[in-house]
Amino acid sequence: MELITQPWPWYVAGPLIAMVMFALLYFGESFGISSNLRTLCAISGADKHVAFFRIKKDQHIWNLIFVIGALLGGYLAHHYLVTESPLVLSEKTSLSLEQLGFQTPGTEYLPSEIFGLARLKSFSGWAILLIGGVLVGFGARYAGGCTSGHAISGLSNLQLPSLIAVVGFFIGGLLMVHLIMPLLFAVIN
Amino acid sequence: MFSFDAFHMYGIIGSAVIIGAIGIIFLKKLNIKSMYKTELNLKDKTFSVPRYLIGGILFGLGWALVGACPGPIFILIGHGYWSMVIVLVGAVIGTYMYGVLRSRLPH
Repeated sequence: MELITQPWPWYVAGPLIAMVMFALLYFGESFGISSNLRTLCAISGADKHVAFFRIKKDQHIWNLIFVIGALLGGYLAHHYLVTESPLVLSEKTSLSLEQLGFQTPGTEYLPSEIFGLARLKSFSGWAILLIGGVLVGFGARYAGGCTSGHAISGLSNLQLPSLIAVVGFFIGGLLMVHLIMPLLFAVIN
Repeated sequence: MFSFDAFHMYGIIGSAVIIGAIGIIFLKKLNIKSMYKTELNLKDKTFSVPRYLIGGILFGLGWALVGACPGPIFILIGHGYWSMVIVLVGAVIGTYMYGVLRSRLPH
């Protein structure tokens, strides 16, 4: 029991993700989460105004069930598996996070300096979460996939377009972490 | 991950891709079918650069900012991090914006 309540190492999590991909292939589908965002738009009525959302909703229900499962998994993990320190950050990362104004790096999955409910009382609190979400949603649809669709499924299937997407993911990630965030959190904290 | 201070995320994605790639090579060589006896959903993607690169960069910016890609957004809501609901709302809005702007974007 001790063993599974510690954060699972990468050599367990990674292969498990590959297993999930194989299972979905066996069921006649594929592993790609971001298309659920399009399905959610279609279900909410976007298909009335925008052609992109006129999809055969029935064919995408399986994926909604998949993410509901993921949500459930998160619930079960939170209540039965997570103990005290969910993250293991390197010394160097902890120090640089402290310098940006994060007081207890690594003690929570999502630092309360950004994700705490208290932050929602400020405009910048909402803005970061909303804008970050918009970038994820827009970017994923434009690229036709997110890390599951491109980095995992696409690269496993040796797709060059997926490699380009993953390179893009990294450029974006590096820009944000090394250029934009230091400026952003200097202003906010 | 993006400070290159921890191997963890690279280990996860790397090991998933290596096992995934080997597995798919076997699945294709052995002509394995799905449980419904249909071809496995392993279509080739049409090559292009703008949509994958620009879309990818925008995604990466958001991914690093909120620390989650679409899968973890749902999972963390399951954990009870209610702020992720705002991220989800943003992601749906972003998806909608793409649908609207699509014809004007380079693909």
